[in-house]
Amino acid sequence: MTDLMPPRSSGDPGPDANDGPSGRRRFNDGPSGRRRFTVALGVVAVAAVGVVAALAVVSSLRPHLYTGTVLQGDEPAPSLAELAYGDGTPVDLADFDGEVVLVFFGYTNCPDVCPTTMADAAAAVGLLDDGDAERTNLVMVSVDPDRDDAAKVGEYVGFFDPGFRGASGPVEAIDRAASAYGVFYQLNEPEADGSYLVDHTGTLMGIGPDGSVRVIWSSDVGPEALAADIAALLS
Amino acid sequence: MTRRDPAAIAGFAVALGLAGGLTLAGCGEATGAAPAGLPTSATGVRVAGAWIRPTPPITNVAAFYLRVENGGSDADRVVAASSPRCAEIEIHQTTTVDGVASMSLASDEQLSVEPGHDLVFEPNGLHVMCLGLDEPVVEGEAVPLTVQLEIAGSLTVDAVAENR
Amino acid sequence: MFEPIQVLPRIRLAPGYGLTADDGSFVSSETARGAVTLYSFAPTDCGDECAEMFTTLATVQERIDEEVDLGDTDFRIVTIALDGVADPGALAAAAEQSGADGTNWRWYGADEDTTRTVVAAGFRRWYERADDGSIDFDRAMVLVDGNGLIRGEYRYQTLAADHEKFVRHAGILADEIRNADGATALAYEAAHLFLCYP
Repeated sequence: MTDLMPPRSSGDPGPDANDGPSGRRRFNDGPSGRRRFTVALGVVAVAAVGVVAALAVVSSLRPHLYTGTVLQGDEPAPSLAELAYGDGTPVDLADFDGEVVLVFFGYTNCPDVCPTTMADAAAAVGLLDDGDAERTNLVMVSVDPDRDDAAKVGEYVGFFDPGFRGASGPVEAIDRAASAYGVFYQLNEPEADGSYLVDHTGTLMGIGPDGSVRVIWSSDVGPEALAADIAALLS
Repeated sequence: MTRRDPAAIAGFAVALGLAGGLTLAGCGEATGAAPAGLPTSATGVRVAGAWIRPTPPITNVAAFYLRVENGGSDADRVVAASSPRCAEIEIHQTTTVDGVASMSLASDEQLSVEPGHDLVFEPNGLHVMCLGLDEPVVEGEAVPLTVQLEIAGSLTVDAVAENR
Repeated sequence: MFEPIQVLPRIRLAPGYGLTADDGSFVSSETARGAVTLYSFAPTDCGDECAEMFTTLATVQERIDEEVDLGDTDFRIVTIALDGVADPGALAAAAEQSGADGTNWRWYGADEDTTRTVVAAGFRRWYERADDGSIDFDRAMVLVDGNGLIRGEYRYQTLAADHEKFVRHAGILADEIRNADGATALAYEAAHLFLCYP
């Protein structure tokens, strides 16, 4: 059994994510010698608020309304290091620092959703300008390791775009990665000839240039909307 | 994860439907005259806009997409399909709720087409699934597909292989 | 009076899972899609130390039913068993003991490995089996929206005093769900971009 338990942090499960600014530390009204400093800070703070507000107004003139669902969390995307590409290299998301990575869980014997999503993603990359296209990556993780090794998944996605990459690994590692990305899958009962289908969450996850999961797209997002969202992530 | 029996899968699909209003590729209004030359049944039903996505060399499954146009005066229903390129063909419905993909055999109801309406097979919805594809589908080629209807009988078209 | 739109942050992806429910059915993260779900965590044999938390859950369920208009969206409470129990009978007994109504409040369970993947790695709730076989755990709750995104993480202590915060958060989520389409959608997305959090 692999130990996945996060370390206990001195009995405190961490800050309540919804506590908001009330938990923020404030300057105290310390010795009088500090008062001028506090005032100066206040002026700076007011100026900063003004600049932020001005920026907000400017950017709100043309906000990009994402088609995908935007996440605000800024922690690193779940690791895929237990999985490897066809050449045996472990998947290291740090390789994509400053770039966008689309993560998809699927399988190569998938007739409809996977090829549609991969074709749409490839078309989206085609719609981006060269600079953005260069900084857009895709990793498809197999949810069917019995039939798909990483090389096969790599060949599969490479058909849609030579830059796309495929990954696979032991079933336990795939289970953990899928769960961490909110993906559920299950193998269907095989047919007489032994072939079977796999039900799976078909969402496309977008890791932003900062390395965190920023946008979730449903599989029917379409190339134009996907390209616009990717460009916004990269801007 | 575990293998599920078909009943459980059906339950899964039903649960998905209940959970979020499932998207069905349904019967749209008829889209008017299609190009001449498409085979039309004596009852006024025809198959239009058939296409297939080019496939990666390592897979042996594919999906045909098409539109069954019922220009006649009686309701009809797609009952089967076949292609010399596929060992077997099943008609499937991808149930998509907020991007969740689950496939199941299409029901009789989903495959019915009323007079004056179209039955649309499209990505992430109804599709004609080709199993045991003999060799990769290459962009630009024409793949024969025969669609069998309950009343109209068999209609054979060429599905164009294209990326879209 | 100008009142800014408030939204709950989309914190991160909730884990994908496949578990057994207290009625013996198989349930997954996809079963929960489209519904707002409040997850809590407890061992099936949790007695007095869970009593207060279970009372809170029952009250939250009642108040949200009465006070929050979620439209067509279901609101569910799920308690995931921490002791690796996947037997529907044992889960049903725990559900009855806790006061779960069996419809909107259900108990889910799985073997120990799966439970650990889902609860410890996925929901990031700490728990540990003590030497005497009992289970130490954080009494915590996680609010997940219909898109499978975590929208709130609550230490039980912050809910113990009253239920206001939770009911308020459910109301904020309900507003967002009701305004997910049409002209107001833009305002809600902007609120996410400009972080108008409660």
